[in-house]
Amino acid sequence: MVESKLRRLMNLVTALLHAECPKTRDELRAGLREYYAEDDASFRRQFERDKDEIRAMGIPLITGFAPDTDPPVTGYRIDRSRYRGDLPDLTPDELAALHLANNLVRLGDAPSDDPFWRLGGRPDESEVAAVARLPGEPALRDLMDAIAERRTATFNYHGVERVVEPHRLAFRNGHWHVKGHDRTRGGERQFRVDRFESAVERGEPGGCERPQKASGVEDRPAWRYGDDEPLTARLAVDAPHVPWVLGHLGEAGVVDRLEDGSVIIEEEVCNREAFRSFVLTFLEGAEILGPRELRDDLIRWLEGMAWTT
Amino acid sequence: MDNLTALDRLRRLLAIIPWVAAEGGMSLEAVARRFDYPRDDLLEDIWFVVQMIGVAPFGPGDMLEARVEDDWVHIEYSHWFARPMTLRPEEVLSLLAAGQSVAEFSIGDELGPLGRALTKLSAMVEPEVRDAIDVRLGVADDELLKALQQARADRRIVEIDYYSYGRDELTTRVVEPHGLTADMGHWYLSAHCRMAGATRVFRLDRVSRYAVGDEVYPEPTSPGAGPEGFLAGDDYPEVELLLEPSVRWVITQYPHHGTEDGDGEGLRVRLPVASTAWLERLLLRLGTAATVLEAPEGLGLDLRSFAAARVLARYGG
Repeated sequence: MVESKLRRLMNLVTALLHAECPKTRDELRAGLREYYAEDDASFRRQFERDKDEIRAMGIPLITGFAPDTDPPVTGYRIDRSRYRGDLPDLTPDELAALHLANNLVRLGDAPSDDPFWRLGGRPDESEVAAVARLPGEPALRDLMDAIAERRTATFNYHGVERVVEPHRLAFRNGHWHVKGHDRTRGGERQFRVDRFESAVERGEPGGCERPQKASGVEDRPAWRYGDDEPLTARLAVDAPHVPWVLGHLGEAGVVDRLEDGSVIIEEEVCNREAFRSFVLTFLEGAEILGPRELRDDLIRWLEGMAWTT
Repeated sequence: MDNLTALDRLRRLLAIIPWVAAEGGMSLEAVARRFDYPRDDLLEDIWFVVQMIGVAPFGPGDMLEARVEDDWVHIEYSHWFARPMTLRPEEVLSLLAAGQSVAEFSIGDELGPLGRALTKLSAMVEPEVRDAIDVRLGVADDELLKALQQARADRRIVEIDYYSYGRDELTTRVVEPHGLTADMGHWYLSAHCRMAGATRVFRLDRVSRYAVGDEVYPEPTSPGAGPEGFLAGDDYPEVELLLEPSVRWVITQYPHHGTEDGDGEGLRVRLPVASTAWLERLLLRLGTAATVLEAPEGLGLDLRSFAAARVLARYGG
């Protein structure tokens, strides 16, 4: 079973690479008769599946009208120049270092050896434990592709379909963010990839412009994005939490350091719900000092729960 | 690797054919090792698949030639596969991101070959794309990270002041560093903790002070636990929550199981509880958008009420 499928796919890829112009499904079938079912419907289903699998491997299968067909019939071939593009000429030690890095920093669960087959095989057999693991969001691959080939990326976000020209991908605070020009809303926007509400649909290669220098992904905490009227919150944070807070928010917001090691920070809040959630992660280790509005909001929130038993 | 699928084999063969042809032949062992292809499967596939590759009408000159002689693989007339398929842009960016991340946290002069490999890879994409992916593995003080890496390399003990988020307390401990890991945005130190007398995992952004000691500790006999092992096993009590749509994000952030849509009422989910402080925080943040459906004694709504009352006390409530 595995062997006959492999033989069929290998010969299909060979025929598609050999083709100088698009070959119709039936022309391809004529050359591969022994590998496909005789029954027309089964053949078509099988051929469609094979085509999808070849495409999913990244093989540049292109379609066009086959010559001398009237009415025109769709034909297929592999774009040889794209298939045989350059590969970096890596020395064995460079290949080994890259392989190690790819195993140390894992996007998603399993490192992919696939690119390494094409770079000359796996340089070593040793299994290394990952040093870093990053969430492998399903959309990442499409976004990387879109950035590299200047394609648009279309996805649903906050209930709206966005068409975005992606410029930059960044991993910050445990999440992937993409930044680019949002054609739907107009202007530069940043999106969190794990909040996409649909798969990414990629546009055509070269379908958008890329700025000379893409601006960096901003590392703003969630409460600085939002539509609430901006307020400046004063927050007292007890000593045990200070390294964590400063690691995340930086020193810029610190307005006072007290003798007991605690700090007072000021933060601009445009999303009160997100700020409340942040403050509650400290339990009684932090206190909103002001403004009154934010402090009262937190007190009301807690009172709603303190009385529910 | 066992049981390669037809597609696993296809990917490998499409790379093996040009490599073997370009090298003028390769030993069967070398091909099997480099391409992670079980030897017997490889041998069989060369005889029964690669030998039968060609184009219609499959006459002389239309077929690829492959044979194995004295454990040596020869492949000729493979002009269709003159070169392996190039890397897709997305593969290049993914490799660059991994390589650059490693470069970011490496100490010493180990970057030579990796740096050269990254330079060569960068040449495959347009210049503006090279820096399009930017990975910050985790929040950690750079000095602390380097000091711990060095202490691990020299096997020196380290004294740390550590804030335990789960227990909401600050302790001073002496640890023997085993390994450093970045997981989902945070750096962790796995170390033998002399206070606990066992291996513990520490998040670096909760270390408020450190001092590397002179004492050299013995080489650890077992590998340290990674953060993925935090909630392994069934040792933790569980709570079952009903989440309103606005707080479904819980399942993207915490280990959970038994997710089930509750007939339009929301999402039912079971969460292991590694510490009460963790659950207190979660329940206070979720507020009334989460309902506790089932919880062992002391981990239900009373826990939330007491926690809320404690925080309120700070506000004079």
